[in-house]
Order: sequence, then C-alpha cells, then structure tokens
Amino acid sequence: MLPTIKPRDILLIRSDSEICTGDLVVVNIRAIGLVVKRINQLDGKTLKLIGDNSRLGSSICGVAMDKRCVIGKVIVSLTLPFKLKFFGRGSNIVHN
Amino acid sequence: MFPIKNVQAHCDIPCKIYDPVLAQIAPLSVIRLMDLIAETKGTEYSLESEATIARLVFEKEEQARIVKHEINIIWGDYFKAPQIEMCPTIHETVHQIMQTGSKCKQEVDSENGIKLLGLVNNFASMFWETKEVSTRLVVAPYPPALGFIQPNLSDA
Repeated sequence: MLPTIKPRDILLIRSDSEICTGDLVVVNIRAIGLVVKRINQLDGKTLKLIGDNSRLGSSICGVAMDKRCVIGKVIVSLTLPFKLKFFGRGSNIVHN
Repeated sequence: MFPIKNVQAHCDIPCKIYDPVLAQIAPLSVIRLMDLIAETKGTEYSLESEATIARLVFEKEEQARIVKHEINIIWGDYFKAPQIEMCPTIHETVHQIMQTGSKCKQEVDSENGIKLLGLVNNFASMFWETKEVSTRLVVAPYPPALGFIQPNLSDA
C-alpha cells in the first residue's frame, strides 16, 4: 500500500464507521487473513478493492466481495519513530 | 489495552504478471505439429525421416507440457476464492485441460489438439473476465490458422 502505508506502520481503525468509496479499510479475506486496501467501488452489499501501489497488484483487487468482510476503516496511521497521518472521508489525508 | 493484529497489504508474487498467452500459443503449436506428423505418413523410411518424426513428436509433447504447466500456474497461484466465485466452472475446465493435454502427448490425432485449444480459450476468457477485460476471438495469422481469445487492451 505504498506510498500511503509503509511496512510496520501502526494503523488505528474504527469498526463502527460508515464506509465510502476511497476509504482505506481493513478486510478479512478467507485464506489470506487481514488485509488493508482502498475501496474502489461500493455497490449495495458488495465492494471492490484497489491498492495504492500501482506497480503491485493483488488478486483480491477488482473483484466483488461482500461488504461484511470489512473489519473497519483506517482513521490514523503511525509511522515510527513518529509520523501520524489522519484519514478523513474518502481517505483524503486531512493532516500529516 | 487495544489488541494489535498484523495486517498485510497483500500481493501475490513478486512480478505479479499472469497472462494465459503462453498457454494459448502452445496448443496451436501442438495442432501444427500433429498436422506435420500426419504429413509424414507414407514417407519412405530413412534415417532422416525417422529423425524428423522424432523431432516433431518430441516438440509436440513439449508444447502439450507447456500448456499444462502454464495453466497450472495461473489456476493454482492466481485464482483465489473471489476469482473462483466469478468462474464456477474453472476447476472443471482446468481438469479437462490436464486430461486433454495428456491425450495430446500420447496421441497424434489433431482433434485432441483442437479440443485442447478450445478449452484453453475458455480458460483465457475466464481469466480476463476476472480482470474485467473484454475479449474477442481472432484467427491466428499462421498455420493452423485457428481462433484464439485475445483481450481487448487499450493502446499504450
């Protein structure tokens, strides 16, 4: 998920937040586990994901999956030693 | 305290390039080689004709092996739960490709090669469907001049 999220970043997620297109979310994928991606499309009960790193794709991106696989929306990422990013609606970075 | 769990960004393999094109060219080679083997029928025996048939047979089996290998990689590594859900007949198609690929190695009947090409075309259609890329059936501009599936890609 470079450049938005770097390896070993710590993410704070909200599980009760309403999600919308563009949000960074953590999803639980059967056989893979917890994955952080961005919502590319939202359609009723399904969504499609996309990664931020255009040079690396994923087979979980671009395919319709149940919205219920979303564990929560990323609201803050912490890059150590100390750099905070806050994510607003549609995951525009609101403060860096 | 808040529980902290590991989350991954997830990508499948380092190069991330999956494309059924290699698997699609190989059946055309199989069919062509079967046709060339058939053309040697009735040829007077000589060391040279034996060597030619041996080369054609060897290459036919190699191309059939390539089909099985390439399909196995894409099916085994690329197709995951979401793609399988989109293509419910994928397992059956791959199994038929394995069986027909073996038949192409064992025998010289070009009907087996044509069947293999059809199955691989079906596989290619399903692969591009998972990427939401439309496809079209085109005719190979070289013998055996049979149809194969191409993705409709945008110009660079």
